[in-house]
Amino acid sequence: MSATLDNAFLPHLARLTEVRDLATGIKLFRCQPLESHVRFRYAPGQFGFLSAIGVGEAPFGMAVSESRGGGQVEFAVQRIGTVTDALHEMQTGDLVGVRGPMGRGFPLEELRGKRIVILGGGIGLAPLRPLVQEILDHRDDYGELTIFCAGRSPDLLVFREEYEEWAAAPRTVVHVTVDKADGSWAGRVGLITQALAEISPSPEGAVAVTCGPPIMIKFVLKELERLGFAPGQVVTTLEAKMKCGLGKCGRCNVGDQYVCTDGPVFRYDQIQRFLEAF
Amino acid sequence: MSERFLQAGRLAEWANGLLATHQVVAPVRRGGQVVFRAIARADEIAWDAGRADLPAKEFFLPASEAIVAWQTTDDGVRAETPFLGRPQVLLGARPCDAHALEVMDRLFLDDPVDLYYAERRAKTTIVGLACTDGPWDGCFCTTVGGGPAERRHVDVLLTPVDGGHALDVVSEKGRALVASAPLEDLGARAPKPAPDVAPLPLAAPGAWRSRFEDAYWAEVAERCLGCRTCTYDCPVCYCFDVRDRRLADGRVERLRCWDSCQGALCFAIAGGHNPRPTQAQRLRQRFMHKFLYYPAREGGAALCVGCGRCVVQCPVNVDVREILAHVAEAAR
Repeated sequence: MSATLDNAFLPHLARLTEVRDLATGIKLFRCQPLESHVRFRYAPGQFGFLSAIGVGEAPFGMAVSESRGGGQVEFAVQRIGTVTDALHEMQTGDLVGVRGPMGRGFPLEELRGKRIVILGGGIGLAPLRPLVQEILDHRDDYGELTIFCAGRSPDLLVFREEYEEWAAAPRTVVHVTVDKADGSWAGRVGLITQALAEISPSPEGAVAVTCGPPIMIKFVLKELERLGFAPGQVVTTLEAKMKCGLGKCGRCNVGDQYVCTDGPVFRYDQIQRFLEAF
Repeated sequence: MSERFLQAGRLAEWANGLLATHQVVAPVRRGGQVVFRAIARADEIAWDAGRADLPAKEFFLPASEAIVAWQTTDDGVRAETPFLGRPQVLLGARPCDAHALEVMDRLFLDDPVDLYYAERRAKTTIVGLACTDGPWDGCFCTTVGGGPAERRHVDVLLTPVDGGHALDVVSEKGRALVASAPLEDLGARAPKPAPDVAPLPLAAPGAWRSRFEDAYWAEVAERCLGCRTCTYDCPVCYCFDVRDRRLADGRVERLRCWDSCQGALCFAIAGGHNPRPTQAQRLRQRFMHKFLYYPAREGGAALCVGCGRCVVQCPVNVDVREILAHVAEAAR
């Protein structure tokens, strides 16, 4: 075999250094590559494949910024299928495979100097977390930051313990809302679109960045349009079935754009013509 | 390069000789069909069978192959690349089947290079056979850049003449392979003429883009069974799935397997969301991929070589030629 060709399907082996509950049915996995020369270099919004060896692999957004990860990568995983079932059974110390980083991250160049509105629903907040961290770590490079964190119920909000830190940053506001409250909840109740309509962030010099379940993205896009955000001012990160992450397996396309290599981050005007997802 | 002559009996001798150093893949009759298989003897080759019922795709992109082998070691596991096979000769492939490899090269040899495909491709020499006995039902190779005697995608092209074949060496790889062939001067022998295959109208990508919302896709899809035959018999449908398999001895393999956009769950993700829940969307995806997305991404050419297999094998007569005509007509 040609020694010059890398096998892009070979994962790096990594050890789980932390497994913790983020929300009901959602865990955070922190992975340390076994080989010392392996260092994942990535931008907020890029993703990787996490392998449960012998079960399979699936793509997940990088859930921590590279600088805050300190050489380790984190993935937030909802228990929802075969691979995620297996991952949820794993413990600190277990071995996993990691391939990546893949895709293109958030357009930081376009975001710098702008007012930023971040809208995350459920586990959709996870790929947005590195962006929040990036902005907070370079706070002067960005304008006013408004973060909407939403969940179907309080127990499905992820990274709850971090909202306070985020809100404490200069020129930063965090709005938290749940579709349905429980006895412990004293905060806002209602869909993320209702919160968005009520707060009505100005589209002037702003960019909105959203991630969440397709149904949420669909209505958030509509609400942003109503508020005056042009398609070019809206950035979303998409999820699609993907098997390779390399632009080869042929199933993650939105029109002629591949979510894996052209995305997963898209400006809405790049994909609205061919969106079948919603 | 002037053409040479290879006597019918000598062709078999030469092919038998190649078996010492190569896997020789050629069309053979199996269970009532003509398919490409690794042969053990040259007399298995079905030279007179016309277009094979299935393409030679599996010898470059197997229906199922291990792409990662997990090995257990003292300190855990190690991921390894499985061994890839020995040099092979694709013998008796028709020009469209050779063209198909050039079309797939655009994807699999593009960065990042697909190691498995690239290895097999590099180790393969193609000895094509011109379609002087064609065309067959459904053939439309000239519409998509091919031709019944097209030599661009083969290393050696054989064209039937009385008593044997005219042999045209196209590439250096071909020259090396035929070094062992008992060639004679072609002399006055006249190769059989290739048939005329009239090209169909092929709309430009922009026309396909403007047909995305057409109700037409739902009309065609009404009779589509979603049986996937068109994708499995297609020489350039390459979409694949990746799955892990635990073997009886405890080893674990990661397999790459053919997949089909026509299957109901091809695009469904964990949790149940399916961006293409209807057959109309999946059928549109297949044709848009072939005539819009692939040309847009991979340098202009369609993901189709006009072999016509999908035309004759579809159980409900979904006919790509009708779809080409519809889009071209609508574009006028």
